[in-house]
Amino acid sequence: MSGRSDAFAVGNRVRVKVSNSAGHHRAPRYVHGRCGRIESYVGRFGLPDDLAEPGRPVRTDRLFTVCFRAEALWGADGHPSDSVYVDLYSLYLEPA
Amino acid sequence: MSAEHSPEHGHNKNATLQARVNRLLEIAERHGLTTPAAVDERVDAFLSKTSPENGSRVVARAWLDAGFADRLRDDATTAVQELGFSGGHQSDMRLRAVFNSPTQHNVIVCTLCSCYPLTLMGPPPPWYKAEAYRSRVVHDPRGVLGEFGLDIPESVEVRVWDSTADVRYIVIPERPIGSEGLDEESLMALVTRNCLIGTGFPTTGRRP
Repeated sequence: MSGRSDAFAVGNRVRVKVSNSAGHHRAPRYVHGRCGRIESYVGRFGLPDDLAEPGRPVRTDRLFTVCFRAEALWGADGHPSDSVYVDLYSLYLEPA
Repeated sequence: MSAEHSPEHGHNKNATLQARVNRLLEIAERHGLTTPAAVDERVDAFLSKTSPENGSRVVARAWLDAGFADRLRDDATTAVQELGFSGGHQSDMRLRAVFNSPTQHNVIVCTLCSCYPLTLMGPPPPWYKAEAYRSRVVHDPRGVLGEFGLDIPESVEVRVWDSTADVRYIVIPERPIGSEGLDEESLMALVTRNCLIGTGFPTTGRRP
């Protein structure tokens, strides 16, 4: 768990880590490997990956709303004006 | 049990889930952990606090009270408490109100399951939980909105909000033409659940 670092400041670009976790995970596949911009910081919450596993110690993590441009997700199929906003824990993100 | 692991089509999955819930209830009842009456009471108590009328009241109040609209925009979790509502069924859930404007249209989805603010919108409609809506609205929001009868002009930006974690979203639509002078109750009647999801527009039937 990283502390509050500049990597995840509002306005920064981030990439969603590619994961093939067999356990519970709340980063939808369509954003894996995609780059977006941190739109806002929501707060610190229990990590769902841990909460889903009975008996596992629950880490808390910072939750961010990340804005993905439709074109970054869908290429030419994405409308140039449109975006998808996804709530993602810092554990799922890396600087881009 | 093997029949419960049959191919995963929507109705089969629902039937499987229903069977699983029934079995769990049976076991809980047999061990004296609960009774059918107690379960009904809890479900009724929960559902009685959940209604799209609550969300409609939030929207109507925002249209009538600019101060409330500002507070709703800044911190919806706290603002809806002024009306006696909470955003989520969990105490630390955050609520965020996303406002439509002449240049921006918002629509909500939960691509991973069917999250949305239950207390403000009531139980989600079947289409909101369907894979068709969940997979398509992120990829082709304008096409999906068109199927709901919403024609979004090219000049308007569409924002899709995927509630994957601890935030629940409510769309605050624009106040419709012809609604001037209406009181809160009359305005509420214009705001359907689809308006709160972003798949509908409130209308008075009047055209500009």
